[in-house]
Amino acid sequence: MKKKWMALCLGLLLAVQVCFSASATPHLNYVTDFAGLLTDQQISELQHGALELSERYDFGVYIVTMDDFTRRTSARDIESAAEEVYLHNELGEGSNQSGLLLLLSMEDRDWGLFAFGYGNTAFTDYGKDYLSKEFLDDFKHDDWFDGFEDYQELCDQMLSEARSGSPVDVDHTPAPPHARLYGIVACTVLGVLVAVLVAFLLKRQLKSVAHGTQAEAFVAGGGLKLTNQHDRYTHTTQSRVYDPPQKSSGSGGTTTRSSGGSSAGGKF
Amino acid sequence: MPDQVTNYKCPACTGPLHFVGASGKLECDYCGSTYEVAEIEAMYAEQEQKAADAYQENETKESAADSADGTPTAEEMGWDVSGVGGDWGEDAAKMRAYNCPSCGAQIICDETTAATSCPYCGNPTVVPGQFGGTLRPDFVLPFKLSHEDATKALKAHYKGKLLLPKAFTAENHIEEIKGVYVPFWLFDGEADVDMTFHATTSHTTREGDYRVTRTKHYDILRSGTIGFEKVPVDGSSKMPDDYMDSIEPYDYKDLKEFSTAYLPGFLADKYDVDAKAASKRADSRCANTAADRTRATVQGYSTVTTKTKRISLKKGEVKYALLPVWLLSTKWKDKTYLFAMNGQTGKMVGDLPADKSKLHAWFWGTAVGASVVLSLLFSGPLGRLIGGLFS
Repeated sequence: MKKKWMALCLGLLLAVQVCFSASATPHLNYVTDFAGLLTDQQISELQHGALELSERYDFGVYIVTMDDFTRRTSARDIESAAEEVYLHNELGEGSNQSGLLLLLSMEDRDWGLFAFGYGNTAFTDYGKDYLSKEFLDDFKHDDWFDGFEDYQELCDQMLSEARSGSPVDVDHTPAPPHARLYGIVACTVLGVLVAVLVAFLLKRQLKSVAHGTQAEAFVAGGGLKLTNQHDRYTHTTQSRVYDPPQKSSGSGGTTTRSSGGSSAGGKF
Repeated sequence: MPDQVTNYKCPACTGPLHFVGASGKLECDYCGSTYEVAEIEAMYAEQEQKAADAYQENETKESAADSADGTPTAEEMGWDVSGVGGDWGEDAAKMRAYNCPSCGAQIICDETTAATSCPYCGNPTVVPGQFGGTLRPDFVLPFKLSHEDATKALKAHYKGKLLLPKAFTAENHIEEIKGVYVPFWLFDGEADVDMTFHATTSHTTREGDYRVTRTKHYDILRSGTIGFEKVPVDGSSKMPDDYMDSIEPYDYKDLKEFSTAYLPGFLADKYDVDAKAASKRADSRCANTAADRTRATVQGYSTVTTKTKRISLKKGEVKYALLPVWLLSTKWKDKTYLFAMNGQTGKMVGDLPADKSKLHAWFWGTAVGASVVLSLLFSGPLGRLIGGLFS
């Protein structure tokens, strides 16, 4: 009898384990680092950043890393995995579970984004593409923390744009982060260059003496008489530069999945 | 011994004559009579010849010892002259002493001086011997502009110079102004040019995801000849070459056959840089122009690079001419500023000082102003574009 009970308990435990592995950990934090890419300090900082976004926008901005999404979820692709993690863990905030999840799977260097609720409004298809460019630059160099920081910063900006009624889309691209600072630096540098040019011209006004190097004024009538001239073609060289045309931005908006969320994904 | 120098005197009142550019005549300072150059030339031909002969005679004697003329020296008279002056050394060989025919005073001047004025009586004085024989210039370009014109031109030269210190124009006074006939060599010549170039044309097309640039390469040959007439190079080591180059060009239509009658009232020097030495500068200028003109015939290409260049200069005639230059000097803060004006065309040149505080004010004012304006212009869509470039 005792053995039966033990076998039943073990069976239940296995069933729970299987269930758990199939549906990922429920009620994840804003930052969940299964892959061990971040230090505790970095996790704490990112957690703090996400908490601020949550308070400001009533919107969850999540980060989950895994060694291999196929072992933690039942999904076959990274976008479905992100969807599964988001929905099974009941992520999101507010009555409509608004939020955005960034999932990294290290086995095949996959990334996936899944937006839900207000996330579908704030992060259009174009918006997700725009957002991914920001963090992929860092992830390509295994710079995880900076990539996640950029992700949170741009989410902040895109949520702000959406709140003002103009979410990032094909017809509305916000100034990139630090654009203002770059603009000020660029304008200052240009201003100094203009000043150098003006100072040079003003100083040149004071100089009117120079050695003669030409005899243009003394060329005899008729000028140069050509006695022989030819232009001979020799060969052609060719250079090819990879420069794919910009993809058509389409009509904008957000394409939703059957679950009601929207996703994007790829490799880094 | 006859005088080596000549004063041109008014036949009417014996007052000194000087050449006036505006009228092109010699005018008397006292009675206002005017005379054609040819008229005075004829009148003074004999006297000039005598002066030139006396000059030549003196030149041959000059190598002989400058021995005592029987007059006791100050030392012989018992004066202690050990503290007086010093040996003139090499400078003595470059000096000449003439007696002014008007007042008899001794005029000490440079060995190249051909026309000056007596420092005692002020009479214009010409040394015809400086222009005798092979030293005689072929042409003279008479002054057209006067002392007053030069003064006005200098004031105009100051105008519109935003960095010129105010105190420079306010405190600055003309220290010296003199009209000088500067000796110039005028070179004629021809350049034979052979140049080869490498040139390309490029055409870019899109092929799928690639931008394809096809560049066609060409070998270019150009041969030709180009003539030059009267390229001027000053033959006076005293005149700064850059100033003389900067007041070019002269209009040679006004060149006259040389006559000393154009000189009274101005300074004049004979050359001390010979044609051979001066020709190097003319050659270099002609070669540069020949190369540039040849390069300019290669057109219709995206890039052109010179591969080989061969320029052979054929020497032509060389003429010796006196050209008119007004020289002005001013002093400010213990520094002398020299200006030169073309005595025919009025082109004035001369470097001016910059006010450092004005320069700083302009620099920082422009930097701040331009930065603010650019920031205002670039805020909005343009700002985003710049941000995009940097991100």
